[in-house]
Amino acid sequence: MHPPKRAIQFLRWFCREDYLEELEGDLTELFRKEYGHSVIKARATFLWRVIKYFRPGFIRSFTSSTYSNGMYNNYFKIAWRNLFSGKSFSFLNIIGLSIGMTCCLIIFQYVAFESGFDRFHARKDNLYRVLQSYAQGNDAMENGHAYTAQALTPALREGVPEIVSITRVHSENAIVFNPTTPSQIFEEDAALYVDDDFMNMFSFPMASGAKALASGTVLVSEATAKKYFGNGPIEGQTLNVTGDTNKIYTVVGVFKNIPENSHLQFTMLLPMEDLLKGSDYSTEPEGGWSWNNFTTYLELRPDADRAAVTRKMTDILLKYRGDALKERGARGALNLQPFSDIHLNSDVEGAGSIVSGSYKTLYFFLVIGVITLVIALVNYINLATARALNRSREVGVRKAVGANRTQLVAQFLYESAFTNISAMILALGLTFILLPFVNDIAETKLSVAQWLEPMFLMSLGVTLFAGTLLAGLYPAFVLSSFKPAVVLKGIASSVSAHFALRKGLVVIQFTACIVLISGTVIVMNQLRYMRTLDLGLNLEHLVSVQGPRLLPDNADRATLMNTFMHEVRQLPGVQGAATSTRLPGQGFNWNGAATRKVTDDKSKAIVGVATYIDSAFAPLYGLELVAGKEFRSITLPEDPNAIWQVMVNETAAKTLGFPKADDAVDELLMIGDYKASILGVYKDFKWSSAHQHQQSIIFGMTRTGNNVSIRLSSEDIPGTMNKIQSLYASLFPGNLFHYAFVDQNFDLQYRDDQRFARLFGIFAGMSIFIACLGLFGLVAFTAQQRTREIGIRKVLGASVNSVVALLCRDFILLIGIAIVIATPVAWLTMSRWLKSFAYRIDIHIGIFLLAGLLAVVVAALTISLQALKAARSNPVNSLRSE
Amino acid sequence: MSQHTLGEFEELVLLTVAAQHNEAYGVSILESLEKELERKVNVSAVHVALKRMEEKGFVDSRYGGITEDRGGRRKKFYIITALGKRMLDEQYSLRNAIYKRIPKISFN
Repeated sequence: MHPPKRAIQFLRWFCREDYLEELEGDLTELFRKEYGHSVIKARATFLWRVIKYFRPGFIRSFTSSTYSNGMYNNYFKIAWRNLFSGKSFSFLNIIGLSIGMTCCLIIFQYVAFESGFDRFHARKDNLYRVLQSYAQGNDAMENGHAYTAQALTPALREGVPEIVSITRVHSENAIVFNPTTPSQIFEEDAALYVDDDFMNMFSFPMASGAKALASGTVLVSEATAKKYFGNGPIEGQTLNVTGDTNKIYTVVGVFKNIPENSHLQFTMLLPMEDLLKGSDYSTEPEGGWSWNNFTTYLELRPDADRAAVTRKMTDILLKYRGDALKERGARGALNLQPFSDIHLNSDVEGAGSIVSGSYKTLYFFLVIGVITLVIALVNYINLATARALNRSREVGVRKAVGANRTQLVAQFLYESAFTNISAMILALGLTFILLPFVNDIAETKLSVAQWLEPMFLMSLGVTLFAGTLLAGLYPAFVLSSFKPAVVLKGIASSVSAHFALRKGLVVIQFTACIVLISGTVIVMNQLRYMRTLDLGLNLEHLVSVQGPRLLPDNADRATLMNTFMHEVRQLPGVQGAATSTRLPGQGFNWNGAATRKVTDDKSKAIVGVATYIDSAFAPLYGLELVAGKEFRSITLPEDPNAIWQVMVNETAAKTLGFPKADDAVDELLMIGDYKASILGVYKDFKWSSAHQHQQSIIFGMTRTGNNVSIRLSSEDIPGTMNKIQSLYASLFPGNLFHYAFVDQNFDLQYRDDQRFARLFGIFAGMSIFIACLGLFGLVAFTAQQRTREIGIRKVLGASVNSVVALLCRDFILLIGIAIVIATPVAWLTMSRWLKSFAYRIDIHIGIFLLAGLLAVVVAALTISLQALKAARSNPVNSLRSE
Repeated sequence: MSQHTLGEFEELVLLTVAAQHNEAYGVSILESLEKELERKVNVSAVHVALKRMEEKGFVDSRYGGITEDRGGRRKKFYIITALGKRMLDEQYSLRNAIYKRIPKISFN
């Protein structure tokens, strides 16, 4: 029979001590009397009564010091009154600011998340990734890439004493199943082969078991363990892995799921020694220096000199590879990339970084966020100075009774802080609501949990502080400069005095808006251009099916694939099928193949890219032969030393030095160390995205390419796919049927660009909205100031139209100026952006006119609403008060 | 009129305090008011009125002994002061005087 505890605690917390005894006693007595009727009701009534005491008079004083803050109370009161006396202006201010801050908060959160990658490792400051770079002849060293050879690690471990630990990482895409449930097969595309040091140098926490990785053992993540073993015991269980190695592994440990902010994402760790012993790597030519398929990570001693280590490493590379490089006329070097730089440095190409960001995008959005916020702050400055007149008497009185200027500046800054804090609270709420949508659009993984991170809290504080100062400082100095003798006489001089400044600020706002709008238009146009670009390839209704990973024992891949292809072509609804090792949009098998005419010197080699197709590929994809013969007219030679027959594209023929395509046919080439002859030349087509220039493409022939492309007729696509799937299942049991539409896959290359365009558009929209809020306020204010003028004009016979024109003319002029300023700015920035595309649109002057027109229309709509209202008001009302 | 005024609700509370001489405290006042007025009264309103009248000097207060059904808290008893009583008298005579001046009115 006790009253609710929480309610009592609350009462005791806020209530004045001298009242508490009586109140608590009376409330308890009432509660006990009502308790008999209904317990729930009595408790609710009690709580409700307690809440009713939460009012001035009963609330105790919370300030413990004797220092008087009466002045601040007064500032607060005045700020509060001002907020309500100009409700619509305060509303515009706070809404505009909170939207600006929301943009900023979301961007800050994004930035905090992106720049917080890989910071959870205990020894992060000593961790590095090894970069390898080359230069041809006297060229400057390239940026470097993270692909290194398997032999590098043992050589470095031996030759560089500063290295504490070092590991190779090789990514694996394996078919995995639990031998006790062989029917449940999974594809693990995030498995890694690593050296023993891996788990010691990185701080990926273990959930259970050991983290030492010996031959025949495997570590899995918690989620993966659950997938294969349910809730049963995990350690000691086995997994059948088929990929680069083909083996049964025993699970010895389980690591916690890898956090989102790690560039290394993996679900399974396999021992490197098994990969090196049990696959092609055991017989790798040139002592394991020839295939750069490994990423190398290392940990240095804390006192190591990074530059000295880099020099030692390069010396080791040259010791083993110097001669081979010299023969090609090239130089090589090794470098160390700090661990925290890996995620955001998009200049370095590297395996293993599945999640990659970019400094450029990060800075770009940071700038946009700040611009949006500044546009909102300008609103505050504009409205505060515009309304200065209303405050002039207050300032006069305060000065007359002895306030000095510092105090007045403090007061107005206090008001600015008040507005900023209110807007920030609103913005936090808005951000909370909008986060799921942002995650959806921007494909990010932001959560409210990040709000507690110091980085985010700091940016929050900086935004508030900077916002308060930026918005408050100028109005504070303007307002505090009023001379009491003048303002108290009632001479209004301040309205027009700062009009020039306000005009300037409006111009800045709209310049920013127009730059953002025209930027959006250009980004969208470029996107559309890229997606409708004529590829020279026909990708319509083309579906790609991944070939089998697992084959029955003793089966011949070529024969089985042949059967599959034959059967698929027989299916109704299938118009054609071909195999290749890669698909358009997925790169090539051999990047940077040094290619030259046999008769040319090695130093004249051009950079080619090569991939393998079968004889049906060209007709299926609609490749146009301009010279020579197709693959279909040859048979693949049995002899591995026979001259390689290749097809090239026109660009390859031209850069190799054949003036006409016909000249290239039957000519002999050296591609790497292989001798090849050109069978035919295809017309240029686009295998990669529009970011990429036309490359010199070389096609070799294959019969066993693992990507099957199938052209479907447009009727009953699901039915045909079902038939293909059952055919696949019967021919290749134990494999997962993966398929995708080739054109959709090709479009995936533009995913980042699309995301960028969407975000750009949203921020542009936000900024123009905020700018219009400010404009709306300014026009409303001007109309209010000129009520009498409008009244007199109307009495003397002015029409509504002319009054509207009077009010709008100035603002439209300002936007005109903004267009003039914005055009070159947008032109320059967007041309720089477009440079990252090999195929790009031309920037039309029309785009800027369109953006400007849009800004004018939106602004005109905003203004004319207010202007019409002012112009249509009855002059009697405005003039009567004189 | 004296400088301290008496609101309508305050007057009712003050009357109750006077009627329950020496025995008036929050709950007893609340219950008596609810009975007389035949409507629900906020206990916080009663307390607000008591605090205000104490400030104006119409009532005085003292603490009583500890009773069990108040969770170990003492009662705070209110007693009307001489000033309070004079205030009530003034109000009463004022109203009476005006009332008496009402001519006989027939409402038919």
